[in-house]
Amino acid sequence: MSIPVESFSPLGNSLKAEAINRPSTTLWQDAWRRFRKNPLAMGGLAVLALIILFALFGPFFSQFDYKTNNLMATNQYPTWIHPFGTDELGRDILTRAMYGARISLLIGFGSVAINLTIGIFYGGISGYKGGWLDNLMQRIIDIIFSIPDLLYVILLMVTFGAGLRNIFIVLGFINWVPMARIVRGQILSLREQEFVLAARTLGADTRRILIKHLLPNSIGQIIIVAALQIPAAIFMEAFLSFIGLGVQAPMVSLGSMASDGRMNIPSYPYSLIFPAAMIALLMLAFNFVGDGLRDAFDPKMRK
Amino acid sequence: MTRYLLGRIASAILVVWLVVTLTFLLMHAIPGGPFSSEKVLPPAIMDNINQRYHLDDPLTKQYLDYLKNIAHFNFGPTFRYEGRTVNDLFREGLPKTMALGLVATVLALVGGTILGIIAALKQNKAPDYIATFLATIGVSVPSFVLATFLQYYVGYKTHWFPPIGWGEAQNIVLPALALSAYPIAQITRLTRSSMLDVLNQDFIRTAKSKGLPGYLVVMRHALKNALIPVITFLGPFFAYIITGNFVVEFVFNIPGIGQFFVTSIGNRDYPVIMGTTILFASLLVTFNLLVDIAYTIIDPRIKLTGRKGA
Repeated sequence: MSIPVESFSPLGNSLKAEAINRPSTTLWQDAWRRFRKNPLAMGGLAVLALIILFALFGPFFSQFDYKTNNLMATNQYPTWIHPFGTDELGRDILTRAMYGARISLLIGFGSVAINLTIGIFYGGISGYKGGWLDNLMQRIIDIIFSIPDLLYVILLMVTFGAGLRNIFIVLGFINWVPMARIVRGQILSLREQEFVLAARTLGADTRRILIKHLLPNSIGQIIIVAALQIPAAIFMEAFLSFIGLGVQAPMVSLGSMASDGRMNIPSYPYSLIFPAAMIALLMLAFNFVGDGLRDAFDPKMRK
Repeated sequence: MTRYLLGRIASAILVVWLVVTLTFLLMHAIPGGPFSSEKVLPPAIMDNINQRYHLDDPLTKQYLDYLKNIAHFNFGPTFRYEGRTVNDLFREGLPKTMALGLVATVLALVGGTILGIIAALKQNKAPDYIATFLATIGVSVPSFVLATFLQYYVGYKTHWFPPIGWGEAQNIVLPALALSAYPIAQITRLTRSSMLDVLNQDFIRTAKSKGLPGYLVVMRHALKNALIPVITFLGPFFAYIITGNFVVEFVFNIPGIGQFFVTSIGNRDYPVIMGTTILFASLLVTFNLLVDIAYTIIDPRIKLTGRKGA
């Protein structure tokens, strides 16, 4: 950013030189101002908004649903009635993509909400209490972290069985480790600062300090991690569908559509291409928004 | 150093033991045995099967036997491949999985680094955009979709490379590409950003002003420093190569461990699931240990005790 020299003028020697004559901006306003200037992030946000609208309200405008077979119209190429074509049971792929996006987004947001809760509690306690408890909690995290989460997820899904509810639980209870690490790191650096000492001097107890002072100050980092974990969860669900541990038919997710469409690629490539393109769009949108949030909340990290 | 090493080895063994215990408990917590099916077998036959696979022993005895066998690298019989053990499957599959993983590793490290350097040197020009675009595709398309596209459009349509199977050298090209797409993308991004960082530093200007030709500045001064962040990615990288194998081997029908694993999930072949999980976990723990030791040699700025996890 360059500002021409002409736009600067001396204020003179009056007392006004010290006056603050602009309204102060909050963290959110500041972040939003930076976020807005990032075209990739804004593009990602727009695409994301479109997909969410598509998933939430699209089905109301469609004359088809996701599970009724229509054997008179199987494997149709894209037409005006079926813009994305139909699958091998004659179901409209566009409509199924709407429901699939619903389920995929639900899995993304829902499991990250569970991650967030566990991660904040775990990281918050570990970082704030410190000492042997922190040490122990960090050793546990090290152990969990040394095995890829995919292996845990597969093992647990094999144990509990496939299905939407179990995907929620398993993804929610496995992926909290990155969140806990970020929260702990934030708390560790924040709790040494003067305003915490001030709060404690004024008699605030641990809970109040954590909830009122430490967590609000880490919220930027928490949002960044969440924004990047949501697409990861959607990706993971797609993989689970591929190995047969995903949502069960007739329920549909973008991952299970792509995985079913894979078999038909020689004759009906659109049945793979449409759901795969939607997954890719979701991934890109979330990642751009996540990167944009990182730049917006933490301009020092910018590369 | 010795103390640090001993500590790391002890914690690695602890992790493997926990994984063994966890997989054992989970696989035994599943309602319904591996042999329960719609067709009800006569109790005498069920008893025989249970006896044959020691499923009628008390759980603690089964657990201790299992631990003892694992310590001797004996993963037990499979439930679905009659007359074969999990070890047989490993012996058959591991060389293929390792070969594929090795080629993908080389491809990812070399390809990712080169793409990253090109992108950094031509920042905001066409090559940068192309490399960034490829990297973006690599992280945003699920690997099974990418593998299917490669298999069909590059393998089947053009006949450049065989779309399926194993044995010939050219069989490995498409699976390795599919497997390395994601790590190539990550390494490209990492190399690009750290290269841009390094290129702005004073010692690069010094090297340039000495009159050193551009490629020497890059090779001798910039690259070495730019690669340190890439090394920190090696832990997750190996994890990806190992778990990515599941999809790629399944799609390209390569009889490696990844394919056995995915098939055994559908078959409820618990000893194979347990054995594979333990094998992969041990491999990863070993890799991470090696990577940690490598850090301390490559970059003395990293303190031995300061780094936690991988």
